[in-house]
Amino acid sequence: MSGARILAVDDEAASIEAMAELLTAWGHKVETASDGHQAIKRALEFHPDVVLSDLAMPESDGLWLLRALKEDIPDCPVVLLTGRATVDTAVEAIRQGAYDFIEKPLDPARLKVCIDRALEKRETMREVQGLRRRLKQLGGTEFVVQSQEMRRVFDLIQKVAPAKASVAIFGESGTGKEMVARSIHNLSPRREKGFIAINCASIPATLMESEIFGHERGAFTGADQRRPGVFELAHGGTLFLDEVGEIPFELQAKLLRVLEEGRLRRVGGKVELEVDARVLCATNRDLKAEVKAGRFREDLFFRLNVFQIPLPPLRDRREDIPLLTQHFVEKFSSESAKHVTGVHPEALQILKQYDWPGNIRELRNAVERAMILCEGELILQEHLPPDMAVKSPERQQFHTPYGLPLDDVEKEYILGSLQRNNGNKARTAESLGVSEKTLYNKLHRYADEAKALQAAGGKPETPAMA
Amino acid sequence: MGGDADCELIGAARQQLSARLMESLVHEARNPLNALSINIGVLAQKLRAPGGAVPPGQERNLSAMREQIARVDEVLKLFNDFMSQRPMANEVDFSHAVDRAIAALGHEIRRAQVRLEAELAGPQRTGINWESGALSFLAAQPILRGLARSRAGGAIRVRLAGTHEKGLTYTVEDSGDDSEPFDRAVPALQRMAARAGGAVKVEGALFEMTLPLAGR
Repeated sequence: MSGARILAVDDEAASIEAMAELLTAWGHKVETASDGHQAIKRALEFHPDVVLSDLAMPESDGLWLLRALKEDIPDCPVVLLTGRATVDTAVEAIRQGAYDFIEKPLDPARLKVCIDRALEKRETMREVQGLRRRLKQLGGTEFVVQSQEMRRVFDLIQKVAPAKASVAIFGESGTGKEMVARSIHNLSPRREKGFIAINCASIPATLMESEIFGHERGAFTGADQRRPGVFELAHGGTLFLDEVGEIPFELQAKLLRVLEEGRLRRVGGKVELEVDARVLCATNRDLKAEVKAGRFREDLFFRLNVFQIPLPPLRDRREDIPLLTQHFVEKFSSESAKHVTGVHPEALQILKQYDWPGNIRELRNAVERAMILCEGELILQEHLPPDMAVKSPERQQFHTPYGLPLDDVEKEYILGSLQRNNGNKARTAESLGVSEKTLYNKLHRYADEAKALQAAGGKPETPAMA
Repeated sequence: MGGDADCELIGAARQQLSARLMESLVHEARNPLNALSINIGVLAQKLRAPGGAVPPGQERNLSAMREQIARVDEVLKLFNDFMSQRPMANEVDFSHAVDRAIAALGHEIRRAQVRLEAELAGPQRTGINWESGALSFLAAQPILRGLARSRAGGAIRVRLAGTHEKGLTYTVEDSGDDSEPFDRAVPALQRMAARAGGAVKVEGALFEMTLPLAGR
């Protein structure tokens, strides 16, 4: 196993120089330090895969370093080397979390085996962490491509994935921006490392700096322990910043610096850390307009906007709807005890004609809801949300002439909705987003007005209420 | 200088100091050995043909250097173990202590040009709980006594046996004359053995120490 990052620590210059040469000859990238304090500083910058440290050093010894490393990079195996081979020391080192313990004088063959095993352990730990993270983050849609529009998107993903360039993904809410980001990561050479996604809109502005760049213990009230930011978590992998336009202006300069120099300083931190994360971002804001308005830095805009992937809304790729619908049916069917196998052609027709303002997310929710209601094998029209289930092309539009008083417009709209729902008041109230009581009150008022008009000799506009 | 008590105190302090100095020596000596060993690894890497092994002629030299490093390290380890003053478990294998004493005194034995024959029935566990330095003293002093009494070309016979009746019996028999060079060491050995429930008998060329076997 070669190509690992190894930090070698020893106060003996002759040993450490030879050690660095040997490890380099084995194909590893090596950094050295001559005491515990220097080692911990190097480790935070260098992100070693393995640390080899002498046990007895004058200032801060190997056990001190071991404890410090366990706190800062707990998944990094530490191998201790010692010239004092007593069982007690070895037991103590292992008890405190050392991966292994090697006696001086070092046998290079034994050292090689030890490093390979430590790297295997490190790799296994990373794989387990990656799988856990993926399992946690999965649960969205998989990539379903049928339309020309999405084929073009997929081509762009395949082209940009192997590069390190930043990618900006644009699209309406629910179009699958995170899924595109994940696909870029999965097709990139970084796929074995972490994919970290955060939604900047969901983080309070006051916590965003700490969330992105991490913080040191005591950096602010409540910071009772050191916490790495998303950049550190994505080291070697990919960081997806959703709703990047929500990052406060004052943080944008710090973000730009990380993107350009690959270094950051935690909130309250004194040392600069080296980070290597590919950044993908998404927004449904018009960032150019934000730049013009002075809310988004132009230099950051250009840095993030190296490559753009525009995602079409679902209404512009309706041919994907049957495939996506079937995908969700199968997904939810496998997760429940239902035996739903598909969608009735009439229901599918409604789905294809609907405008989907919430895009794929809304389609997914609609299918999930229908699956709950469906008792048979096929999803029917009645299982679809009321505001789309009764829609037909000729009944979807609401037209009213200008010049009508607002109350009359509301009345027209409510009565039209009631008609579209075949007089079903519960469904009408739900589609209008009001309570049934409110709807009843309004309908009673319209009925009273109609009766009063009739009594006055006018023509009633509304049929009598049932 | 005062009396016997002072001498014993000074002796004990010296032994303690020697043990600590020995530990430091091992640590100090292992650093250059370590640097040598790693450099041999680097050299092997440089001599290695691409994708192959080190040429046999050069591999012989590298192996010889590795063996010598290992040899020095073994010697350091042996003396460190022999002189250390670590607390021991309640039951110790006395045959191991005798074995180690013979190894540590190897150079003395060769220098005296004496042949040493060892017949050790091991392991022989005894129920004494001294620290390791005292155990080494108990095992080595009878051999040193035999060496001091023997002339070049002579022989020393070391035996260790265990029986239910007598317990552990450690005998060192030499081919020397009737002189008794270690007048201070023998009484000390007698006191130590007595404290452990055993005894020491010295009759000219024969040194015999009995100690209780573990669990009795």
